[in-house]
Amino acid sequence: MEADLATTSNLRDHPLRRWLFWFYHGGTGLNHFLRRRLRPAGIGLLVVGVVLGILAGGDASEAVFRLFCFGFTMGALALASLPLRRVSLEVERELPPHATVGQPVTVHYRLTNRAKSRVHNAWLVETAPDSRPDPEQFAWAREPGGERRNAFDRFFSYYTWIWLCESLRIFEAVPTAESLDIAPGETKRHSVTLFPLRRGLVWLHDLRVLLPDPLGLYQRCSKVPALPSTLVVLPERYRLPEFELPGAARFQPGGDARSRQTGSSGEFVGLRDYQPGDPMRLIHWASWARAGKPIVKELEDTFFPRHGLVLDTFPEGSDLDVFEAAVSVAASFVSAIDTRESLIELMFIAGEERVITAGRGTARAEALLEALAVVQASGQPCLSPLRSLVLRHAEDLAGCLVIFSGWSAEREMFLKHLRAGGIEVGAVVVCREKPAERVAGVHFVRVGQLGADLMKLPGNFE
Amino acid sequence: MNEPAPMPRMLMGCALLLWGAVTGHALTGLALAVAAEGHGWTRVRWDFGETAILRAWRLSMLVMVLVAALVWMDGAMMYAAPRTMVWLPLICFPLLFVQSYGMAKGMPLTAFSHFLKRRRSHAERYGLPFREVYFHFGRVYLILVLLSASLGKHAGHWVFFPGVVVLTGWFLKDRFARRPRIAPVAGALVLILATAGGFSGAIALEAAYHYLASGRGSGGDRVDWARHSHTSIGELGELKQSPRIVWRAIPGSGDLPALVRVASYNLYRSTFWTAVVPPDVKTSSEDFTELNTFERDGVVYHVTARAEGRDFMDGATASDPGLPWFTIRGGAARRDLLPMPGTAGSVSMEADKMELNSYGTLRMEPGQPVINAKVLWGPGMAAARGPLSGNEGEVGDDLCPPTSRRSSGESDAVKRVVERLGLRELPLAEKIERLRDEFAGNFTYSRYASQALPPLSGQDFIAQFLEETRRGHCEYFATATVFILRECGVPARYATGFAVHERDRNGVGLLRGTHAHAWALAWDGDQGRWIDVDLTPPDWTGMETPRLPPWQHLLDRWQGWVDDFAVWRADSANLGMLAAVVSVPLLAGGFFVIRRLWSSRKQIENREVKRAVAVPSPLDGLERPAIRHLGPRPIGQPLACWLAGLGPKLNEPAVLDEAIRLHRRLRFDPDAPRDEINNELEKLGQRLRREIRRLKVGRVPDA
Repeated sequence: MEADLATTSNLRDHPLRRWLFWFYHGGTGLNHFLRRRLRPAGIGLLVVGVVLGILAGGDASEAVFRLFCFGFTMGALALASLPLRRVSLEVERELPPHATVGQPVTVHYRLTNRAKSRVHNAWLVETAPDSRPDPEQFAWAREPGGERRNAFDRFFSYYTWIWLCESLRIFEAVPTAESLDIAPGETKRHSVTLFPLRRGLVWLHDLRVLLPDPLGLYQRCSKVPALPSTLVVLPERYRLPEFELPGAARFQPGGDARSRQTGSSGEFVGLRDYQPGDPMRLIHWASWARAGKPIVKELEDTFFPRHGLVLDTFPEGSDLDVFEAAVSVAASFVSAIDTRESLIELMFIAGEERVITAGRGTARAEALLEALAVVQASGQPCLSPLRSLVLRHAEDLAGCLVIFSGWSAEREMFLKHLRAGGIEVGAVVVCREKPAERVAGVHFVRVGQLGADLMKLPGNFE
Repeated sequence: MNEPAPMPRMLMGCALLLWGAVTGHALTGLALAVAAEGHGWTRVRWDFGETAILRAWRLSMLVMVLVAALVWMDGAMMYAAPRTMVWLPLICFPLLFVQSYGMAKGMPLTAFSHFLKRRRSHAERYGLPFREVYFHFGRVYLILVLLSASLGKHAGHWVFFPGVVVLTGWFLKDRFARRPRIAPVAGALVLILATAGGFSGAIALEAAYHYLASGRGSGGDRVDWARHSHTSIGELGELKQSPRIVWRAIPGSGDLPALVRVASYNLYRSTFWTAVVPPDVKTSSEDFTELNTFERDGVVYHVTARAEGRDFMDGATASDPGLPWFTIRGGAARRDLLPMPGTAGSVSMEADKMELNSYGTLRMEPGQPVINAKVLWGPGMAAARGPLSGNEGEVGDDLCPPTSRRSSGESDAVKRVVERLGLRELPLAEKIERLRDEFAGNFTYSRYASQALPPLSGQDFIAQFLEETRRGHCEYFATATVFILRECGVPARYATGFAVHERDRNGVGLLRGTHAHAWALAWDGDQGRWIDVDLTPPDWTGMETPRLPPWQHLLDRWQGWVDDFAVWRADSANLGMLAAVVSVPLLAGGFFVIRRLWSSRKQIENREVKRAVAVPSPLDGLERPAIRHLGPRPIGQPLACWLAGLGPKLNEPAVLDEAIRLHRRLRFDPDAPRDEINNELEKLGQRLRREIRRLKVGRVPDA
């Protein structure tokens, strides 16, 4: 009952909530602005100033006044010196092809000092995109465990705001390890470490150089002109046990047979005498030398099993954490399946039907991971388009593994329909708590313990 | 960004020594300085985790509560926070210990905040992101030390501020060292400018503070209640006074006085009453004279009763055991005024200084935060001198009219009242009685003042009171009485103090803020003494007492206990017993902590390993020829050990043994005669070189 209180529409539509949103929005923005310009010593000086101000008000002694004015003058001098700190840098970003959530990634920069003075006592840092939620997200967000908070916290939703900001933060940037020290006209290479926190496309467009004052109290945070770049952050992947995907050996032409190479291709099966019309590249020169007549290699088209990997993009209860975990589970399967021996067809609904195939002769597994990196949850839960999509491909699929973002009766029906359509189906359900009763062919993994639960998956999904 | 550079060695110790010197706790400062810097002299460390930080934090909080309680019990009600903050270096030392002697580089902010802890546990429970913030406590501690030093009682000494500047420069030394060419100049310039800012800003701030706190009229001086009293005459709205008990008058012998006087004044100007320094007094002493003491039965009495002129009565008479007496008890500031009846003969209390002015105002510097003064008083005594001997109408004269500078409506109103009541020709007692009847019958006591338009000049308030409003609080009645009596030719003064009209069950007089009172003093020429003339309608006491809030009696009781405890504690015998009782759990706790620390201590490796400097030896030259027979010398193998492999191949292995012995002595014996050994080794080396060359080259082992 209490849990419902915080999520009632009355509370969401409360005028104070709108005011709270703008208050938190402005406060977070101001905090971000100040934290980039105030160094710890500067924060300390401000705190000391406030304490001394209070003390001076209570016990007006000359020593307190002097100390206050001494600190104030130092702060003012430090502030006054900031406009004198200027740099003119030319920057080229060198990005790696991919990054992975939770894995630090190093971005290199070629910096050229275009100013007449030496650049020193300066640090580079990338700026993460604004992670503040929009009013809609704030209004509808439900912090995990938020229902256990007291009425005050539930109403003012400060913790929800903090959680949203943290959850929406795409990456955390650490400034360059060492201070820049570049002579006029000199070009040097420096690197910045990014810690991707969420999958997706990271747009790097706000590179800053931090220029502290000589006392180390404040710092100037100047934007450095650099071309925007994009980095694909792949979903977090987990180790999986040895497993077999569901489905009988329904082999499909793939690999070399689907390659765009003209002429015969495939797996080597033997040698035979040359026949007119055989391409020159099939001649086996060593055998010709031994036999004294032209011998050619005989190749045979190869066929691979085609597996479906279905991702449920309609998280139960709009729980985005569950959806993110489901994407991670799907990415773990994509990484674990050997695409040299099979084809994978990733299917999901993202506004429209999406089918991406990877395997020998088609796309590499990275294509699937890139697709998973940018997949977004759909708002309105509706599994029927996904069911239609899978059933349309039923004839081609050896089997199908469905990754569900939560569990419900509708999902159970979805599985039944697929089985009725003749598809061998296994399912992994990502949930917060495992249900009490077991469901045949369905395996539950919990959000908080994905790594451990995935290792407990059986070898056979049927 | 980059990790902050470590603080300069000895900086913290010097800061703590400065703190000790400035606060008057030199020994404590020295002990803290040694402990703070001790981590650089020992390799003993502890692997403190978050639990240890939490315990240190709780211990610090516990010490702070204890210190605050002691400070509070010391009577520093208003200044309890600054006086507690003075002890911050001691209070926070457990945290510094954990930081300095621990192996962790920083402390998590979570350890200090219950809310952050809750956030973290929630995040852990639901797998949510949470960022831990770490900080180094050493820098925070340094700031705390300087802050608390600024609150020390000797912080006004000239050494303190330059000391802070030097410590700041020391702290910033490394920052300026990054650019050696301009660093010293820039650093010195910044410090000079900041110091100048400190000095000039302090002057400006102090002037601003006093302007805001005291108003333009005070001229920037602190309010000296012995000389000035700012009345609430003319203020609109309700007069607000605290119901808190300020003093308790504990009966001893005889009844308690009805009025106890804190200060008296003789000049009224712009709602201020001032005690003008008499013309025959040098202004440097501010008219205050230190009291004589007299010892009777081991008790020291400060004589307050005056004899003729400026002399005091003899101590034996003023401390006569037959005199009625009472004890006045309550908290006081470092320099305060003691309330006592106008006929006080002597006072017995522990004080560093006690002095009295011509108006009978007793100023003291008490030895204890809670005063427990025995006051002897009697009808034949007077603490104030007679009327001032100035010319009539002169400023400071006890016959001075409301304003001496110009005729005003106030003086005219006073004259009209005197004429209307026919007071001029009456004897003093009748004057007072007629005036009392007038005030009791036609005037109303009121704590609330309202007015359609405030008068342009503050000097018309009394005229309005006498002729228009006819209502006001005690300051109106007392001021009007003084003016009227002076108009009648009676020297009069204005007195402030307390009316003793509320008593508890034991007969102890309770002097609350609401009992603060003002009345007039009239000079009775026949008896040659000042008499209290309190013409405020007598119903004012009834209007004040019922105003107490319901919880006030609990606060009164608590304050009584605290004051009684402070007085009990001031006794040296009681203090010793108290110290013994308190020290037992403290010592037990300290022993427990030290025992735990001792058992969990660890040694860190010495990071400053001295590099071995190879001493050149004549045997070094044998390495090259010996390679042909021994192969390359393995990395890390000493030369002597390696050359020893030649022994079985040589005709005279004893020569090699002797050379190796001398080589080792040259290398490792600091007292060895180097030149002698070098010469000997040179010879042996040449012999060995010749013999090695004669050796046949066999199979050379691999390196």
